[in-house]
Amino acid sequence: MDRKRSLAYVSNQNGSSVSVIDTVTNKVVKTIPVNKNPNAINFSPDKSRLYTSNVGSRSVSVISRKTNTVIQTIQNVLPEPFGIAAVSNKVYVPGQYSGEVAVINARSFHVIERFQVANGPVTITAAPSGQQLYVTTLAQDIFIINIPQNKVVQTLPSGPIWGLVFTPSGKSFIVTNFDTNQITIYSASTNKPIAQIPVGLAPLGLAISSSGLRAYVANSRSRSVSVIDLVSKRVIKTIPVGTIPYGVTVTPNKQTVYVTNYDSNTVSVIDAQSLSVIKTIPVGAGPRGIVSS
Amino acid sequence: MGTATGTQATQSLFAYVSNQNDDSLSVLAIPSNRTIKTIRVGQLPNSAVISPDGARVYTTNRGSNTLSVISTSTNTLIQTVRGVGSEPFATAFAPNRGRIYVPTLYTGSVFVLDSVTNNVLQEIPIGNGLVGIAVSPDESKVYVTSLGTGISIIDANTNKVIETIPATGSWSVRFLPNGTRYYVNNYGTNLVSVYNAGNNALIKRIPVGAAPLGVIVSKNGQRVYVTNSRGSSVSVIDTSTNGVIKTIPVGFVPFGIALTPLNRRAYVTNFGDNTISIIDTTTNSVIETIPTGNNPRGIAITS
Repeated sequence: MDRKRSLAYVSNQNGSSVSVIDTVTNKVVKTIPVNKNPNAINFSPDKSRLYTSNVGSRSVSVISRKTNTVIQTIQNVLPEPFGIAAVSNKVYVPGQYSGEVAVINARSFHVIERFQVANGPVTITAAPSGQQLYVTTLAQDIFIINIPQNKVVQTLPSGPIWGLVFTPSGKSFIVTNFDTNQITIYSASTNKPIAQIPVGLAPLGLAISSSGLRAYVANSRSRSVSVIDLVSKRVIKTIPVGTIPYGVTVTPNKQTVYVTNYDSNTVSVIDAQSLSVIKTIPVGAGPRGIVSS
Repeated sequence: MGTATGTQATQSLFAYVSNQNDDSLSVLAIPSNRTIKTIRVGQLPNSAVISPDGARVYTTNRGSNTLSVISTSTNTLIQTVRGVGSEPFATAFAPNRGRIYVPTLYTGSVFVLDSVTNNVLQEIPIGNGLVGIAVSPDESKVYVTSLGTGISIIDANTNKVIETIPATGSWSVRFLPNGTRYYVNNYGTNLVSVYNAGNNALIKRIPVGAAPLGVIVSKNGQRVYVTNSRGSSVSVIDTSTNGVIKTIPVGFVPFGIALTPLNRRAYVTNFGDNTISIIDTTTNSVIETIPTGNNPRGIAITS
């Protein structure tokens, strides 16, 4: 039933839970307890499941969207899990301090491999082709991993990067430059930067509308979200939100923007037409990751 | 204080270890290395520091955005400090000023606390991704390392940033006891940078292991020890030559490091395998490995 509703799922790191928000009523309809300290959340490719990487328990929680309950907790994944991506029947989890990526078989729930990537991974994103994974790091560069060899095949010099998302067409990807307070648009075919746009302080998460026309960036130290017109490549509005805005998602249907405020324990709801906050929803403690259907 | 008999401290020593994933602080007796008590603290305690007078241990708790203050005489939690921003990451003391400085990762500020009451007196906005801090030995300046803004130097009289040194991914900073130089590990580039504290000029870059996190300087100023989190090793630097004289294999993801008062032993928390490696600093080899709680991170030893 829940798969027909438009829902947003929030990983509450310090509340060790996932808040489920009905995006029509903008109310929390369920709070799902998960293992200790979930910092990132993502869908399985068929969207039947959610996975959380749990930074304070070396684990991954698997949630069924049919029942909105945890169906499996995968232990001993690696120290300090810090992001999660699912491709085909595998789940990939980078570890911030060991610099590895753990590969989990999504059927058996076993860790089948761990491979070394780099110092300080923070985000892992699957390329739309499903052939590659992009890992950003706070320490140095962006790393491109080929599936299924699970090897770094290219390193993009970039400085510290937090978020990385692909545009719906898959032709480009956008990253947040944590140190220089800007975003950089890369060509996905050449992996070269094509534009840089200044945003607020210490940008973390970002999301792109399904039209591919707009990007929304969480400026963690500015308590704001920058709205970028991807045609003119300019910031068209800066919207005040809560304290330490962290994750961002745009709902596929109504194009509503949801932003987690890590230090306010809330989610700001932004109407994509008026570009203003229409509601602030209390969630669990330390909301970080967010995805929506 | 331990007396310098040349062989062993005559008084009991204790190590305090923050077990990040257990939300606890373990007290180890030295030299038996047995855990004598485990104290509940805030969520995700990522650092543990003993106050200069030895009376208290402070943990920063990045999951509950608090500091836990523990009495070393009773080994009990005596205070929880709030209002220190989002993800406090380290603690440094200026005992003559009666101040404590706490950098926070996401708020990007240094919070200034009164060291008697532990009240937050001031927030100093600094930059993006603050992780480390040290007070110069003369207490005139506070140095803050970051993942996004380089090394920021705060004038301790005015609490204003007076200089920012570009440095990508600097994690920790520690001074020589005489205050002439400071050592900063570059997390991204696998280096330790040595700076002249008089003019903040870079003296040397020293290659170490992968992803260096912890740095400590021996109290005689002769050695610097660096934990290489992805190298599963500790680099030992001779400060007279600023060269690495030994790389010691330790456990998985070594993070924190502390020395016993006479510099005879180094204790290294292995965040990745729930152990502490104990290094004999004379031979620079691991003599014992002991189990800890989950994800040991911060460590401090009484003097």
